[in-house]
Amino acid sequence: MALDEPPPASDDESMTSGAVPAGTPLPAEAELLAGAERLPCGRPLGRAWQQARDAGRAPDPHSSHCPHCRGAIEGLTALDRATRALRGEEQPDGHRLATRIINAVRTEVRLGPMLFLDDPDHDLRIAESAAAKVLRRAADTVPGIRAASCRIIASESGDATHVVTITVAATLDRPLRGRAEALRGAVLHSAEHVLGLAVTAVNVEINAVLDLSPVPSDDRFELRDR
Amino acid sequence: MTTAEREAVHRTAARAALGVPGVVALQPALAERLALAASRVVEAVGAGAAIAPVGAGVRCEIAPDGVWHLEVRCILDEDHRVVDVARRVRSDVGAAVDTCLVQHDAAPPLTVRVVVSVTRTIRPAACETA
Amino acid sequence: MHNRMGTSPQPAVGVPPHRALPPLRGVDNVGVAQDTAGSLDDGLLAVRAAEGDEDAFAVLVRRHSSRMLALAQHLLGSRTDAEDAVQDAFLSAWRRLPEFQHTASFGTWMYRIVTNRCLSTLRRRTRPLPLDTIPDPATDPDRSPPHVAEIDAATAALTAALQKLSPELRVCWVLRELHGLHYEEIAHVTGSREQTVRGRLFRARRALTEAMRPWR
Repeated sequence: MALDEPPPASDDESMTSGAVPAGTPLPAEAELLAGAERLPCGRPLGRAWQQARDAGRAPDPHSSHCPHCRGAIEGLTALDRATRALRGEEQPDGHRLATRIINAVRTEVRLGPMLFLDDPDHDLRIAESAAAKVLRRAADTVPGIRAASCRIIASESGDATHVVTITVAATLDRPLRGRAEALRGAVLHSAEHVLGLAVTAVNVEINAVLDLSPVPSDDRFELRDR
Repeated sequence: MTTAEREAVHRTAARAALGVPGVVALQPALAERLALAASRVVEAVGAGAAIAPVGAGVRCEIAPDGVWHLEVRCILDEDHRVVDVARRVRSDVGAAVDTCLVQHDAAPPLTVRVVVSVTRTIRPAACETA
Repeated sequence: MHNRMGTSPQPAVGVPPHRALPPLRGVDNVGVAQDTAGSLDDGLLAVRAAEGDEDAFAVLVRRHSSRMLALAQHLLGSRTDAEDAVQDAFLSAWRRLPEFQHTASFGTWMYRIVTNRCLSTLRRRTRPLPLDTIPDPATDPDRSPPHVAEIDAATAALTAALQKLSPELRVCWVLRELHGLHYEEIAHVTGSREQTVRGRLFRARRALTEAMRPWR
């Protein structure tokens, strides 16, 4: 089953409040009807709520006197209060769960392509994913550079040499050309001295701007920040 | 090759590989990992591979020409140069398996070819602990 | 630790959710090599993880697991089921990262996978929830100031009422009110239209205000 596909149409229409007669129509219309549900005073519930949410604006003469509107507003206020309290509760500690997940992930490494290390006998190999991790780390040591994708492709000559294509994010405070050279140097050095992998060329692509302002220590807002 | 021979070769190769400085663990094959996962030991102990049964991470077969082909899948410590460790694994495993086969009076020719596959490198300090 | 839920959600006004070339975050300091992963933007980490870098994925798991667990717990009402759903969701994400298109953020993608896991758990669930997983407003009497006890009771009542909503309404309400997602994000996560999300939110609020009647 495709996990991020929407679930099949559900029967939640049957769970609506009494305002929407059962068996009525398309979901969209049903929802408009739900919003338009009227209080006994004739005012739509949605409008009474809207007034409650328009903080700062004085309530209109009707809603300050109408018991139905006031009741609706009080109901929403009580819900908002409890919601704030619920939101303020401690988030469950996911540390132990995270450890369990990470261990499970580590037992199912995706090997992917294997590359020959720099040895004449061609029987020493390293997974591309493992080598790429090392080369990305080398790239990260260049000031103002952070690596994203790193692919290592064996040359067609069959002589166990490789071409690296690395995609990075870079800050804009320094000339890019100089840093691309520094990046090549760092990758080549790491390929030779940390791995022992023959690399003949390093293609550098800078495809994103790196913002080096500190990541907020509390990252739960990042969803909205981007 | 008899089952006993094969098992002896597996064990010998695994031990020799694990004895090389810079080798942290052997990478178990999928079936072995599944068995491990099923045992739920993985969860308790951490990065699974380290507690794989002896011989896990070694594949072995004899070609029609009588050459023993071994593949050793290793997880290495990042502080060592990968190709150097891999070479040492190749020579140590080769020598240990040669000796093992002689002890088992295996039929000649006793040529052993070792392929070393590095599946991951890790910082031992960075291993996740429960 | 930073393990409190978000403050009041901000309205979606004028915040385009996905820019074509988002600035990526990092922290520059000496000796970065050992520690950069922890300071990297989700987008970079997701690209690395998609290429099999399990260290990058580990950072993503650490970063998002508490929030996903909170979501699953509110949707499922049970810690054990929530942990299973979140673990399944992350393992599935790990396997499917190579196909991840980066049209949404990693966080939104995880919301989507976890939400769908939870919905299928709820659909499979035949047994009613064990009683002890639904907080009883009458318990936990020890917090002395009366208004604190009252707020606790109201919160417990809300939690209980939440479990009685249909899964689809609950999903929308929890994503909006407890996780601060915008309508369009909720529409993406649930695979429905924004209009549908608005309607479900309205109905969820209506049902919950009814349940909160004693606390007016």
